[in-house]
Amino acid sequence: MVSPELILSAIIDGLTYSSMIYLAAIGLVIIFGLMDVFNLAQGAFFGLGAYLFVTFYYMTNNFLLSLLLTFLIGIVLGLLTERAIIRPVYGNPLAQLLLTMGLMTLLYTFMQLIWPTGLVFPETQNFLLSGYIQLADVRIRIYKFVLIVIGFVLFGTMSTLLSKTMIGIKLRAGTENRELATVFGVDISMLFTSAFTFGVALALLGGALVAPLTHATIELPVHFSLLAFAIPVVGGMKSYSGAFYASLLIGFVDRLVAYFIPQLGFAIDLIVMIVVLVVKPEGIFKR
Amino acid sequence: MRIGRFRKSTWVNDVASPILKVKDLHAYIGGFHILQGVNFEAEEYKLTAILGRNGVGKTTTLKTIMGIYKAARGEVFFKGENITNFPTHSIVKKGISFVPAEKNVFANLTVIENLKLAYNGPKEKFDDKLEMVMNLFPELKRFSSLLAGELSGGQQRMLALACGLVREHDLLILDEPSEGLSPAYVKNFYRLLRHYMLENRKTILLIEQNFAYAREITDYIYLMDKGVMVTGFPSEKIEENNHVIRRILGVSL
Amino acid sequence: MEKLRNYLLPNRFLGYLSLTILLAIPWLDRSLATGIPLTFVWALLALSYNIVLGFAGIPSFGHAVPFGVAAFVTAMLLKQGVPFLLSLIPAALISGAVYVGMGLPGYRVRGLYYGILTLAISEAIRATIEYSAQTTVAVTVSTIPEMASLEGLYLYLALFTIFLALSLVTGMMDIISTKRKRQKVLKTLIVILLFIFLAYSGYVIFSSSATFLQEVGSGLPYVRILRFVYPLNVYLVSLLSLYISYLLIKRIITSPLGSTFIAIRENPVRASVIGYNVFLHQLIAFFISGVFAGVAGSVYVACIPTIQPDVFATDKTFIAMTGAILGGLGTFVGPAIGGILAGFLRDYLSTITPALISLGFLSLQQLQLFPSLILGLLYIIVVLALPYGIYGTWLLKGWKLKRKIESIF
Repeated sequence: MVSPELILSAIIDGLTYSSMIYLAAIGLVIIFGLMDVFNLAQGAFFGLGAYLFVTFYYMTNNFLLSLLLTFLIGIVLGLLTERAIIRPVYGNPLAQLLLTMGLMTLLYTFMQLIWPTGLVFPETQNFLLSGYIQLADVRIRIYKFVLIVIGFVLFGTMSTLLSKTMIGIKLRAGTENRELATVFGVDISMLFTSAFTFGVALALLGGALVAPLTHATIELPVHFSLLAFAIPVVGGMKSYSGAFYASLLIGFVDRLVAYFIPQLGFAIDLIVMIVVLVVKPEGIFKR
Repeated sequence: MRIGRFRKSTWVNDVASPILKVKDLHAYIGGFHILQGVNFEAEEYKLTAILGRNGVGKTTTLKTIMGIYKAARGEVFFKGENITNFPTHSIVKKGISFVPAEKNVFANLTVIENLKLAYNGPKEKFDDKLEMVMNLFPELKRFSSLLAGELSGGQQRMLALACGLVREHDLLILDEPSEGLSPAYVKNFYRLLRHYMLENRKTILLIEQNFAYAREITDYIYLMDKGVMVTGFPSEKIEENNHVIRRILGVSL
Repeated sequence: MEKLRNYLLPNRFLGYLSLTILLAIPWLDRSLATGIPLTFVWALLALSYNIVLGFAGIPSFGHAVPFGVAAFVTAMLLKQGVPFLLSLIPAALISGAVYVGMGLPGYRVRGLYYGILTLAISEAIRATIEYSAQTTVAVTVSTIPEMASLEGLYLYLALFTIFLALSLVTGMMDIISTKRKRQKVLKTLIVILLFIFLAYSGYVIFSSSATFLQEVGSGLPYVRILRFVYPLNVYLVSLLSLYISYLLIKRIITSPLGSTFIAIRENPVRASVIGYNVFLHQLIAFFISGVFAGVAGSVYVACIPTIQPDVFATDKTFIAMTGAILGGLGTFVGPAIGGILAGFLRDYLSTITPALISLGFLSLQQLQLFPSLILGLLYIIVVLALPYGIYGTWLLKGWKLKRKIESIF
């Protein structure tokens, strides 16, 4: 009844999905960890990234260029958002929640307006992008492996950044104690702006990276918004490594349930999140 | 009766170059008027101490100088430059090193990382500076790769002080540095501090609740009460001012 | 007798007047009658949200849940032939209970986390119903019998008359109690103008009703009766539910219970130390808020006959939040005003789309989203610039403007 091919498929899909969730959520954790701002618009930026990327791809037919352009727009948007929306209400968590929620709705509406029917990523000649590989009896999309690799590479980069570089030390210090960081001479305001901008740009980049697989649809930001929100909850609100493990957990749980108990569907992720919130609010993986 | 409201010249240390000068500083915390017109100066290459009971506004004064709290009124001058309400990190860059009383190290960073973060000089010189500071605190050397949170309370204080020293500074500000140190060690600690200051031509400003070794260690003392500096005098004149000291602090020095 | 006197106080003039005008509107312009009831629903939703966020201070992001629950329950009961009012009451109560259920985790989870939790629950319910069910879940109610009744019409006429009379009386009392001659003259002028308008409205209302009833008497086909009466009754029901809910909410908040809510919101630690069971009161706030959100949900069924899982969508919560915040959290009238504004922008701005379509480059479907876009922008601007909302800021800072105007006269 449960064939090895099915399990192989499920595992690969689980890993892919985990990567995708990690891409959507890591920016959220960075921003919240440092600034105590829960960017409700993170998933919306993720979706926007997908749309922009596919649009650029249609225009340029160049994968890397489209990625780069999307990332650059992400930086601009991040700067704008931080300036216009986050900075004025710094220190007021309710206002931040409300504003980022407003931004989220605004972005959704904007996406629905400009691309009412979603955007399909075209078939390409590129082996990595659109090709398949045959493993055992299963036909698997190569790009899934690409995404898996990207996820792990990102995690590796984040870990190295945090532990080996000066920026990483400043980030960890700022996350732990903002006031003390300024006493140690860290320009916390600049750090905030950079972190927020980077977090948003990462969200757009993430959306761009998943687009070849998922295409750009209006369900994408809705779906990944909630998944992204679940990650800090499950992995520890400010834990960068926890975000990775939580992504793995949720990614696998979701896909396995989708394969074997499809009736539960999307709801399982939220159930996990609700359970964790109620049982261990600090997150399962928090140190 | 507040003597502090008198004209400054009666007790402020009128000196050619006070490295730090605070004029009529006011600050409100949570709606309360904590600093109600603080006036004092710190002379260069001298050790100035601010003494006062709990809650009079000593830490608030330091934090307002450092730009952590907002000065509602008044001014702070460092080396002649008006630094009132500047962002903290730029004040630090100008040459003030501040060691807070509590939560003064990063528990999630290692000892070395704490020191690395504190250090703001040229990269090449870091190892030498590190060496020098570690020699002052041999225990830190032993535990250098541990997370600061894994150190004992006393060791954390040592680390906090080490971070203060490793930072390039002309003025070192310490908030209750002897807190939590075993009494036997305190005298020695202060001696080391003074020695460090004289050897390296630095200025030190510190605050304490009471200060048994005041005469020996300090050059100038201010007494603080209810958000103002009540009086100030050179440490030689401790006996002369004993009545004020007893009134403000509750004990003799 | 004293208590009754209270209702005739001059300061109630504006309230009665607005109500009378609102009652008159659908008779003067039939086309408005169909869209406005929905706006009242949003206003009520915003009012109910104000209880949980504005008064009790709990950031709930799942306000769509009691709304949706009531909508479904009401729709299902109506389909079974249960009278409207009898469907509304249990639906509202069930919503209240469900909302309390959502409030329970608040014991362990605070602030931000709680907001995320409620958002998750709201989406979970929507997603579960929408994706997991085998077929699309939708409940359609063709006609609600009460809305087709003539009794509703009689009630409408009676209420109009009553409030017209009340407006007149309080208006006159306001003029009498005004001291300054200049103000007195101005007010008299305004009241006379208004009265002329209201008299005209009254004429329209009664004459068209008279004609209609005559036709009914001489055998009007059912369909035409329906067309005349149905939208009016729906309008009346939604307006009444908004007005009555508003009165009830005001009553509750100004009672000792309401003061307790505010005390808890301001300083929960202090409140618990004094002896109030903070958590219990929060649950009570959830219940009350849920009940009124449920009323909104029930009336929603009267406006939109097909209930789909999208009643649980976050944009319903968003309308409630926007309305409450735009209008003024923690005030009484504010959220209603904000809700009307939000609802209006959302549902009504589409009337300007024909003009934009003629510009030629966007489809009708896309243009219908413009109001939401504008609403979103407005929302952000208001949160940034007017932290107390439109009405709230008026309450706080508006007195300066009032003084100025008064000093001119």
